[in-house]
Amino acid sequence: MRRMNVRVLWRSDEDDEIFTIERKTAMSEKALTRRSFLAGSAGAVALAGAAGFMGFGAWEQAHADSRSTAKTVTTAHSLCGGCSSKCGYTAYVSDGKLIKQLGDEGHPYSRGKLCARGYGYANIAYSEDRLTDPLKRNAQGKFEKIDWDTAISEISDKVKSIISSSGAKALALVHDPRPSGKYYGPRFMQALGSANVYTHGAACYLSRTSGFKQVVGGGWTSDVAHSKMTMFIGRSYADGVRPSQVADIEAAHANGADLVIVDPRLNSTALFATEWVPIKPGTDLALVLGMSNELVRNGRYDADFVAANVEGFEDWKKAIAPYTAEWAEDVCGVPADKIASLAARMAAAAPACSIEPSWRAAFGCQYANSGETARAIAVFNSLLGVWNQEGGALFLPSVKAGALDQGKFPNPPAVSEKAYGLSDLPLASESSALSVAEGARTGDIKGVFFYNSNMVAGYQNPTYLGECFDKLDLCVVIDVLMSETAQHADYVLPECSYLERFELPEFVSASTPVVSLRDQVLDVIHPNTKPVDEIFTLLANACGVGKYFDFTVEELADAQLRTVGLTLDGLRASGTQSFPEKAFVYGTTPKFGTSDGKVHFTSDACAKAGYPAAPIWTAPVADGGSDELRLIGGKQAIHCHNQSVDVAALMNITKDYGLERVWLSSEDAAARGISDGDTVHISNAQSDGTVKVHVTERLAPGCVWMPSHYGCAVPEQKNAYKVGLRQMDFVPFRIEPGYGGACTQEAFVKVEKVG
Amino acid sequence: MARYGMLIDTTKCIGCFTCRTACQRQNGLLDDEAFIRFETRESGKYPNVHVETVPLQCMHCDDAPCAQVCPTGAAHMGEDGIVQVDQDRCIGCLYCMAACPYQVRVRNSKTGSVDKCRFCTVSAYTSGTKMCTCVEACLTGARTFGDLDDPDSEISKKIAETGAAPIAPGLSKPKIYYVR
Amino acid sequence: MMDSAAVFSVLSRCFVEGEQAEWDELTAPTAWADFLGGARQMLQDTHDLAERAPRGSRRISGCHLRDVLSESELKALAVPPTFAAHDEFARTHFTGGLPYSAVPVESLYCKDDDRRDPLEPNRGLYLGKTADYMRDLTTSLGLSIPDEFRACPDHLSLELDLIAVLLRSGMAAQAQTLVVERLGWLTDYRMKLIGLNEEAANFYISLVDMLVCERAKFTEASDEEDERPRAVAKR
Repeated sequence: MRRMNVRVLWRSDEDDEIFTIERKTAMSEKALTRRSFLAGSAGAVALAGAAGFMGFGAWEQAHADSRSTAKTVTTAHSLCGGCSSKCGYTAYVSDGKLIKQLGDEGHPYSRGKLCARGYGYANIAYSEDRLTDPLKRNAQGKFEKIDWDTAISEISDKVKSIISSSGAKALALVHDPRPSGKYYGPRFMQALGSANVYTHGAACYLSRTSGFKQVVGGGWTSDVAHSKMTMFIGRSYADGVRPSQVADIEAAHANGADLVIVDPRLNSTALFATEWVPIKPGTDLALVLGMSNELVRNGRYDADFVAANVEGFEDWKKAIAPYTAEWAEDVCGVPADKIASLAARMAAAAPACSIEPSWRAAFGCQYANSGETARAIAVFNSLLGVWNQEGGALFLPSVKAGALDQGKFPNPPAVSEKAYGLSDLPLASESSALSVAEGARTGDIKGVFFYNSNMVAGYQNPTYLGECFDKLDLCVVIDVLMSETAQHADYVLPECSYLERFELPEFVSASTPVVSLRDQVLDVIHPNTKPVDEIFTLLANACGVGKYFDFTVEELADAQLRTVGLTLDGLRASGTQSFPEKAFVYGTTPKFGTSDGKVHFTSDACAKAGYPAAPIWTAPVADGGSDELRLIGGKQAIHCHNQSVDVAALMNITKDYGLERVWLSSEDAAARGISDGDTVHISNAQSDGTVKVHVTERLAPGCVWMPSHYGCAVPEQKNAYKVGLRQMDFVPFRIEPGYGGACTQEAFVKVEKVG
Repeated sequence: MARYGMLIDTTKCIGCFTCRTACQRQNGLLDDEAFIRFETRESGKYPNVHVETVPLQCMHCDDAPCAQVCPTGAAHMGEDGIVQVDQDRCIGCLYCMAACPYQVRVRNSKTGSVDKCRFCTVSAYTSGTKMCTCVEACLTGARTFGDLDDPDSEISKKIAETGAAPIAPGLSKPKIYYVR
Repeated sequence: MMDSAAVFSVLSRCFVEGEQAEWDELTAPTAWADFLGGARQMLQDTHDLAERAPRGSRRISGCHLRDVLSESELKALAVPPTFAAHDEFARTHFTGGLPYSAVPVESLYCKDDDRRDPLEPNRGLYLGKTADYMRDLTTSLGLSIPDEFRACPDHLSLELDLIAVLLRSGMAAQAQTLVVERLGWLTDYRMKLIGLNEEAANFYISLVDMLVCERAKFTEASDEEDERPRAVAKR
């Protein structure tokens, strides 16, 4: 019993006798109270040390002086982590701090520049909100720190138990691929015997890539810089920034190229555009069909290219006959003469023109007709014969690491099954992460690892996804910060930030393909965080499949590079190395990646999946009520999805400029009595919330635009928590049939003035 | 002696904030300390709309209003026409912030002193950076830096070519010129 | 009774996870009473840490914890948590990245005394200036930061530990400088702990209060006498 009488204890300094409770074993004489973190068991330093003492003021002065004079600065070539582009840059480090960053000229995405995120996001390394230790959800449902050994051993016990009761097919991995992660994560799953590997693709590019695959076998890069005309449907180079693309569009603008932005919102790329074509969201397919119809009607397509390369042209031609420019005007709101003009200008510019392939935007994944829109766009570009033509659309070369010594790097046995859910999505070019949520809900999937993926907040409806993952027997999240996904985890494993880790070589497809390297820039800051390669290796060892991971990441990197005639030391020194012998050459018709190398204007697979054989009009989900607006989202140049919002250097910009505001057209605002700066209530069956509004002429009526970064629901992210609203909260759960896209703009909301 | 100035071509500014965060990194600023601020103007009616983003920072005015009100001489005209703030002499009275017509002086939330764009290229000459951080970082090359007194400098030629002018007439004698 | 060095050593152990045996030893009734006695004595002393006898010229007022601590804090202080309770507290609050993280690291609380809106604190980043200082200082004393403190050389436990080491090494004046210069952030940290709204936090709050009082003795005095160690002059 330890209880003592406090009052007595603290009565006063006179009644010392109160303290006579056993003085005999005075602690001050004991080793324990002398033991020091800094000075060991002696607990003291030699007196001579006194000379080494310096008060803070004197130190600060000396420090300031030494900063301005010569100070050791180390440099490393590395890859940015501000978004998925992974631009090459040189990091300058002094005194353990990142003091300067310069984009690497030789990297095809940075070309000597970094964007706002590249500089600002780097502060994540020192963030107060960093995960510092492995966490486990305790009996009260709260996370608490545990040690790595316990975490790994408990996780591996659960993995083994799931495998023995339900098989490895009940385990899955969701990741946003990163240079090391995309090797180690899938390899771990394969070693366990599971094919269930998923990416963020369902919420980014799955519909697009799948649609392109049906027509031309894969995705392309628009040669914007050399184009005479490029159409951007939904994509904005100035909002989702990759420095090389900004440079390209600026160059095209300077060359007098006709650059058209099709977007319900006048986005930031407008500066370089010749024309803004506002469009009713979700109806981009109608515009493309109308333009295609114009080309055919006027005979302004590349008949030679079509004759030589296209399968199904006649059937397609018949199928699109009803989709005139006039018809399209009714559906998408773009005037028929504008549609005719766009088609004619594209035809005149051909083959130095294309529709840009985009990402998430209009046909990446966001509508129920995104996959079909992607098909129609691939068909349109094909009509103009732009493939691999200067200024057109290019299939750029890439280089891959060759086979490795199987003695040192043995591959786990191939898994014959398909990823869970993939057979339900016959058109999907890869598995859709939404299948994992469904599998968790039904109980088919029992354990999920998330690496560098905040699926719950970013891929679809967070409430729905959270409920799915709460049913799991095992949910493990590997990340740098707590996330909405981690809130549903049993275990959270802390990774060191991208600045503190070395990763495997990253091969980049480009006109001259390159390989680049994310080298370690800073020492690992928190001693209990680990790089992804170590985390998966620990897990693999504990799960009994360590033999597939019996090498260091550097050994693997060097071995991979040697298969392409390079070495790790060499790549470290340069950061990026190119393969000029593989450089792209204009002019040759590509061998299309379809089964027969042809361009397919009609598709049996699509017909089998319930779509028309030719990509014709498919409506997005029906409109909302008469007083409802379609909720659309978009990026801002300072953030990367929800990954960057907690970094103060970037979130301060949001706060300084009110960037979390939703946009409303002046017409819709007037109808609702809403003025710029008002607070509005946004609601639908899924969610509701209030936020400030920006009333603008830059938005087409009929929709409300919400920046897609905000509404963080993780209190641990103290800078971002509760700033703005989260678009995904308003999105009903839906999977695009056949393609697997997340349908994230199939949502309608009411917008009302507050007060 | 040079008289340094800058030209900012707003027809190339996409409002991406790269100059702000690059400046913070390269100059070791706090997360809430921004030497560059932005004003965005929207004009016209849907769908014929024009958008302009104007980055603003210390204009290094020849007649620096900040220096005129500084009671300690912390804010002063330095070499080559670059307005400087001697951090050790700043007492944080904020007079200069009130006097600056462009609202581009910021208070350091840690030290209480006032700071602002330093035209860092001059210090950068010694540290090996090619150019002012914002000039070098700009994704679209919207910025040009150089000697306004040298008629052959790139900036002097560009000003002559484009008719670039101070952001607003009559406020002071600034050394940043805008193409709009 | 414990001397001041031992008091700081014990305090230093209270803001990190530890081993069960060590915690039990530290908080055994007699040992803890000894600590409390030492702490009480230290706080009531009206002289510098460097002096064992009061000096007339220095007007340092002693401090009685019962004047400062609430009833519940006094109780919490008298009855240190069991190892299990301390361990849980440390694993949920002295760990980063959690909503209820209250990591005792100075860099995360660095703030200017007269800074703007107190409701919008400028949140710190790991490895700030104070971390660099602590690292340089320990190095120049011939010591080194243990690896587990790599991210936070200005962890409260290390700051207290260094004070203890200096006291034991005949550098009491320097120790007092550290008390004044390094423990100022604890008023902010105290708010953080109070914000946890947890009874278990009372123990740690009372320890922090003790340190705040100890520091206040010297800062109040140094307002009157210039040669005294003082918080860094604002620039």
